[in-house]
Parts: sequence; C-alpha cells; structure tokens
Amino acid sequence: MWRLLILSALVGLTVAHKDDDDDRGGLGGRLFGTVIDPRLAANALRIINLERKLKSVREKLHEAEEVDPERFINNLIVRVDDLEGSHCPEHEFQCGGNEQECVSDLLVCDGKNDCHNHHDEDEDVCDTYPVKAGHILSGVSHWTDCLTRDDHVTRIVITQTKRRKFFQSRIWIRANVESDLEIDGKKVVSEFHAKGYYNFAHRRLTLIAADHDDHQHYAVVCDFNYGDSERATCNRVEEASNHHCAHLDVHLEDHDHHDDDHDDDHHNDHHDDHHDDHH
Amino acid sequence: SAGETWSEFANGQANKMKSLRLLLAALVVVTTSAAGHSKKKFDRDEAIDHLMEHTGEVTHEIYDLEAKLDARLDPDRIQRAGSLRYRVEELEDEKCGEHEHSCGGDDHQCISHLHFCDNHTDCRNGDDEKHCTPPIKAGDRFTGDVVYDECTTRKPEHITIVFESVETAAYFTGFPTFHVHLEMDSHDHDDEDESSLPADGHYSFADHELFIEPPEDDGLGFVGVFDGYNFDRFVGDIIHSTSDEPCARFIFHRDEDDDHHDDDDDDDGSVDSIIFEFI
Repeated sequence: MWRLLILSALVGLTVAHKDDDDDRGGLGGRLFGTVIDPRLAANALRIINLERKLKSVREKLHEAEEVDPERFINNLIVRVDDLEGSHCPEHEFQCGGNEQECVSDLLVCDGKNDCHNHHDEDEDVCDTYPVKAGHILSGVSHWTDCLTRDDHVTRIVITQTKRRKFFQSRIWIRANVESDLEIDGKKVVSEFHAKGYYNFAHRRLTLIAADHDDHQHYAVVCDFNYGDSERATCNRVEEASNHHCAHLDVHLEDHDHHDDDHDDDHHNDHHDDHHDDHH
Repeated sequence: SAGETWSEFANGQANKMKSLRLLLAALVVVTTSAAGHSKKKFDRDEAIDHLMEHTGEVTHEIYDLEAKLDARLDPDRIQRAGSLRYRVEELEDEKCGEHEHSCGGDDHQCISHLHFCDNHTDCRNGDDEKHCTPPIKAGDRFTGDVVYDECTTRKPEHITIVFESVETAAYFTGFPTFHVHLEMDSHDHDDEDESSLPADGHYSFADHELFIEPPEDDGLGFVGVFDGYNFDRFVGDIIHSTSDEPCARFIFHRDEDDDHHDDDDDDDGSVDSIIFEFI
C-alpha cells in the first residue's frame, strides 16, 4: 500500500521537475497547488483502500468455500430418507422419486434400465468416485467390543479395482487397511490386505481380510451415507456374524485437488509411515 | 461444479487486482503526460474524470463481490440451517450414551457432558471448547407461550423468565449457575393474580439445557432446551422434578427490548462502512 503512496509522491516530483523546466514559478507553490491534482491524490487513496478491501474479500472467499449449501442439503436429504426407511425388502433398491418401485440390487448400475424412471442407472447412483483406486479413506476407530484398543487412526488405501464387463453392478476391490497403533509406547502401523466389493444400490463398501495370517482382522463395512462421495460411516465387524466391534467415520484424504502444499505434506507423511512399517 | 465457480471467482479477483495495477499505471501515465503537455489543460481534466469514474466502477464491482460472499456467509442463514439439522438429529438414534454428547462434525466422537467447556480440549475437533459463551446473561428476559399445561395450579397463558444474575465458577466452567424470577399472570372467575417466583438453576453447555429448580414446594421444575444454533428461542418443559416427567410445555422467545447486543453489532458495521465511504 505504501509503495502506492511513494509512487504517487514520485509522480508528483517528476511533474514538479518538468514544470520547473518551464520556469513558471517556484517548486513549493506548484507541488501542492496545481501540479498534483487533489483529485488524483484522492483517487490514489481510494485505490489504496480498494486494494485493502480486495485482500479482505479474498479472505472471505476462503471462508465461503467452507460453507456449501448444496452439500448440506444433500446430507440432510440422505439422513431424512434414512429415517423414513425404505419399503423395499432387503437386497432391493428403491427407485426413488415419486415412484414406489423396487428392483433387485443385482440390477443396479448394470448398464440396463430397470426402474421406470431409470433411477437405477442415474449418474449419481452409479458414481464410482467413492472407491477409485488410489483413494485413501481415513478416520478414527473407536472400539467398543472385540479388542481393547484406544482410539486410533485407520486408513483404507484402495489399491485396485475391477469391474467385470458382463456383471457391472459391483466393483471388486483390493485395499490395504492400516491402523496407527501405539504398543508399549512405540508407534506401530498394523496393516492387512483386504478384498471386497462396492455395492451401488446401498452405497456400501465391504472389505474382508484377503490372506489369513495368525492375526484376526476384523472386516470393514463402510456406508457412503453422507450424501456425497467423500465421507462414509464405517464399522469394524466380525466376518461371520456381522457383529459390530468398532465404529469409524472416514473421509477421503484429498491428494490431487486444491491445496497443493498441504497435500505434499500428506504424501510425505505417508511415505514415512511405510518406511517405519518395513523396519 | 461449485468448486469451478469458486475458482472462476478467484480468477475474477486476480483480474480485479490486475485492473487495479493498470489503473495505477494509468494514473502515472496520465499525470506525466499531462505535465508534459501542460498547455492542453482541458484533456488532462477529462482524463482525470475518466480515471475517477473507472475507479468508481471497480469499487462498485468489488463491493458487489463482497455482498455475494456475505450472502453465502450470512450467519442468520447458517443458524437456520443448523436449527434444521438439529431437528433431524433429534429424530435420529442417539449416537452417544446417556450422559455423553457428540462432538459433531464428520468425525464421530462422544465425550462426557462434564467435559464440555471445562477449558480443556477433549474432542479431537475441539468442538467442546468452541461455544462456551452462555446464551443467557443477567438482564435477559424470555417470554413463553403455553402449548399445553396439565399440572400448574395457576394455568398461566405466558411465563416470563427474568435472569437476575448469571455466574460461572472459575474452577467448573461447564455449568454456569443463575438466579431467575418466573413472572406470570393468572386469572380465574374471582381473582387476578400476579406472581414472581424466585428460583435457582444452571445451564449445561453440552446439551444447551437450562434447568430451573422447583421454586415452590409442589416439586415442579423446569427444563429449557435450545437447539444449539438459535439462542433466541427454546422449548421449555415443566417437569415433576422427582420423576423427570414433563407435564406442561411453553415455547420461549427472547424479549428483544432488553437486548442491546444486536444493536451494537449493527453500529459497528455501519461505522466501518461509513469510514470506507469517507475515504
């Protein structure tokens, strides 16, 4: 801002200097009288204020990005829908809208319209974004049963996805499930490979342990029930009985959109974790 | 798509910044050139007029932008949205235990009521220490209109709660205590009664509840619940203090005449804008 003032002062001086060449009077009188037009000076002040104003508007823009009405309303719609419940039997998908129609969840997103309103092939129903390979879903696990553990961070790293062309209503998934534990004061990453699938009809991701080592690993069941594709409510469950052992809310760690600096940090953190793991 | 709009918005801002710089450059050019050909006095005036007009236009655009951002950040709107979410939350199953409360946000966590606003952050997202100004202060008045009444002897149409004093113990900040007068008029065939019953109570930050101990020996206490977003309104139930059973309900609204708080805020805003207009 001050450089603006200095600049305008400089401008004034050059002007005064040129006028001096014309030899039409002393510098002092010219400087404040006719040479720097008071209107120009006032205008410069206005511009300085505008620059300040723009800065505050920019800050407000960042605040405004946090407030997302569309996301908020979608979230409430899903929650209210959930409260209302579905009149469809288990393993069926409600076509939604005004149509009270149910179709089997095996027909949802299979590339063929089964609902009369075509809702089962809608873009937002068949969005594969929640389970893209490379996505990291992270959150804090709170164990209420099965294991005695303090709250700890769990990450679901989706490593591979496969969608069969002849059976598109599921996405088959491989993932690593990592937990940051603290055992005897040391930080340890407990990790297991998991396989499972994503079911479009119920927006549910199910992962079970892929190889059976000597540890028992509890399956992960995540419902993307926030009305967006970035947040999910998950449970750690016993595979056979579906008994709930722990609860975790996960969100997608962003790594390729905005906030570049921030994301780089995340990446580094992650590499370090892996490093520790190998030692 | 919202993200795109915002980035366009940001670009727009950057452009505004550029146009400001251009304006400044124009100012320099105009001044020097005007000085160079000081005989063409008429042109110089016109150029300055043009410049000022242009500054005015840019000012207008910047304020326009700010107004749009303010509309999105409007606290009233956020409060109304929050109240709506509260109503959905009330319908949903309790996520936390009886004397626990949710930290809110995307990351599910329950902490004890006793830990809210105790000057120690217990929630991972810090939510338990974020809203720790009591919504009531000495001098506040709330007037309630009856919804139903099955137990009071006076059967008043309205009750006014006048907060005489509000105190927070320095070592136990989660539960401010207060002293109130419950004012009510009642009339039957024979009499016109006025009562002003003194009573003590406390406020709980965790669930935004007011408790008022029974002012008389009929064992009727009072519980008022704010929705956590709108602190100008609450639902008040008269309860049998031994069984916690509600038997009368009033909807309370803050009496505005004693509330100077909002006026102050408005004044601040206008002073700010007056200064801006002035410069």
